[in-house]
Amino acid sequence: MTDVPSVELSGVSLIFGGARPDDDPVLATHDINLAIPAGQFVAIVGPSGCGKTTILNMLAGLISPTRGTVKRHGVEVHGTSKDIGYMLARSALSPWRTARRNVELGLEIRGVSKSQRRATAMELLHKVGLQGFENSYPSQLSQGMNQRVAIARTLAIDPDLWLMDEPFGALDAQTRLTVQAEFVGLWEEAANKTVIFVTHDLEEAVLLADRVIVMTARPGRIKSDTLIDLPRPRHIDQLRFDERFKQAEQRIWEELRDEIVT
Amino acid sequence: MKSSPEQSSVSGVPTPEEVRAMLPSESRWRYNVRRLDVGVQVGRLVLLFGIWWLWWSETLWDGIDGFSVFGITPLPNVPETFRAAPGATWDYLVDILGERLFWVDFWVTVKEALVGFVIAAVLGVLAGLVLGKFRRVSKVVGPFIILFNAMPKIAFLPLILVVYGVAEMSKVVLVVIIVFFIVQVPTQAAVSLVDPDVEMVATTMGATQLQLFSKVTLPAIMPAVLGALRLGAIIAVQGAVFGEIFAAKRGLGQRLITQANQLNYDALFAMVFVLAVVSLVLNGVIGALERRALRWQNQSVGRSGATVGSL
Repeated sequence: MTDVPSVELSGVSLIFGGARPDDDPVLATHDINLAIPAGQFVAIVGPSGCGKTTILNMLAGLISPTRGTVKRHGVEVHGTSKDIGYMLARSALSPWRTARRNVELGLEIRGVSKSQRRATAMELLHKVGLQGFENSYPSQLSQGMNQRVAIARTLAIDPDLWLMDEPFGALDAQTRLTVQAEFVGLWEEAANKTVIFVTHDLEEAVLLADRVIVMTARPGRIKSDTLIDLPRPRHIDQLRFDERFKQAEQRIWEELRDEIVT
Repeated sequence: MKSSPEQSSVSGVPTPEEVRAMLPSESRWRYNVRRLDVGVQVGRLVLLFGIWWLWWSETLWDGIDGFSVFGITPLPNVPETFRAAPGATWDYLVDILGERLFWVDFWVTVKEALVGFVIAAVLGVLAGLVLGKFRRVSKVVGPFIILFNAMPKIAFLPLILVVYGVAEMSKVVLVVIIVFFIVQVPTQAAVSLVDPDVEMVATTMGATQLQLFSKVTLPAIMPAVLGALRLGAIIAVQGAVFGEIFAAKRGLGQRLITQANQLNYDALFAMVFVLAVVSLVLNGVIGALERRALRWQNQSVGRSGATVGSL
């Protein structure tokens, strides 16, 4: 780990709207200060509308903060960057592409050769347990399978920073558990990748992350920042029943509850 | 994690042969008969024969003069001189198929429709893309497009004829201004409906504007564009024929109106059948392209007569 944080937000505030006099501006996030070292898995939890996604969008370079600075490796973010993988709750696959060609999308954009793209895609599809489904279209796959394709697509470009916006929120409880386990395994296997994982599911946050950040209701500010001292590799199917896990979850829940129950 | 306290014994997995044996057995022959769906085939034959009979027996022409609604007779008796008979229509058709001038007329109409269609398709797709992609351009141009689209384009025909002449050019122009909107409107709508999440994912991966266009927008609007083109091809034939009926040197529409003016309604029917075949072929060609390009969509869509159904 280097001294320069992978991601650094200093005094970041973001205002939506307010362009016209009759349009009330909305302060989405306010005065966010956050430094994330490279290789850390950070989960951000908070009530809906607290600006979790906004933070990801600023990191991805899709929007700029109204106040403050967003830096990656010490350099201010201007526009999108090719070493970021962004994954959404909806798989957002291209319905006209097969699973393999969906995974290849980012590589195509980078101009990687066809044979190389194919090899990478096949390897990743294998890793997420979809061997044999390379030529299936999204409409022929289940939601969980499509979300696995989306994970493979996100990781195909070997991003340095993984931005995950409630990536498993749309999955049923059992599928979610399987996909979470696969995902955490992929991250533990990949060396030194930074993950910022937005979720409204505290259990998920504590099970997967090294560090859980609780945000306040709008305007979103950082309410608490807790390191999760659970051993890796994490076997989340067992960890769920572990006392240390339960204590950590309960501790953070105390913080989160005040923001949700108003 | 069992919900019941005792471990119940799980039954074994049957082999594929055993699974098949659980289903009622059906011979190949019976399966083929079932798939043919005799009811549907009989229904079609009855309908075909019924229409034929209405025409052949002249029941169609005799009408029901006694049937009147609010003083309007929807099924009037058609005088003998205006009637067309299936036999005579067939004879006329067979006759002209060997006639060189018929094929000249045929080619004129097909050419007008095709050239007009291609120009309208290119312009319509381009305009739809620009208007769908650039909101400010659409704000400036949009109202004028809506206004022009609201005008009955056919009403410009007398003007088009004096400007472009009575020959083929005027029909091409008519086809272009009619078909343009049939392509432009759905293309523009499709562009604005492209899944923003898919666009966003490609953007975060560093896609350029050109890559966004070729890898997201273009494939995403394909179904709408091809559907519009299929409809546009049919309308193009109609536009060309209408223009010819109004005024033309040659063409199937011109032949149709000339013969009709001589009270040869067998020729009118013959021309209508020829034009229907032209439309069906165009529709079929684009439909085939559509099925090739849209294999990713539900396989059943576009099969089973949906192509003809959406004429």
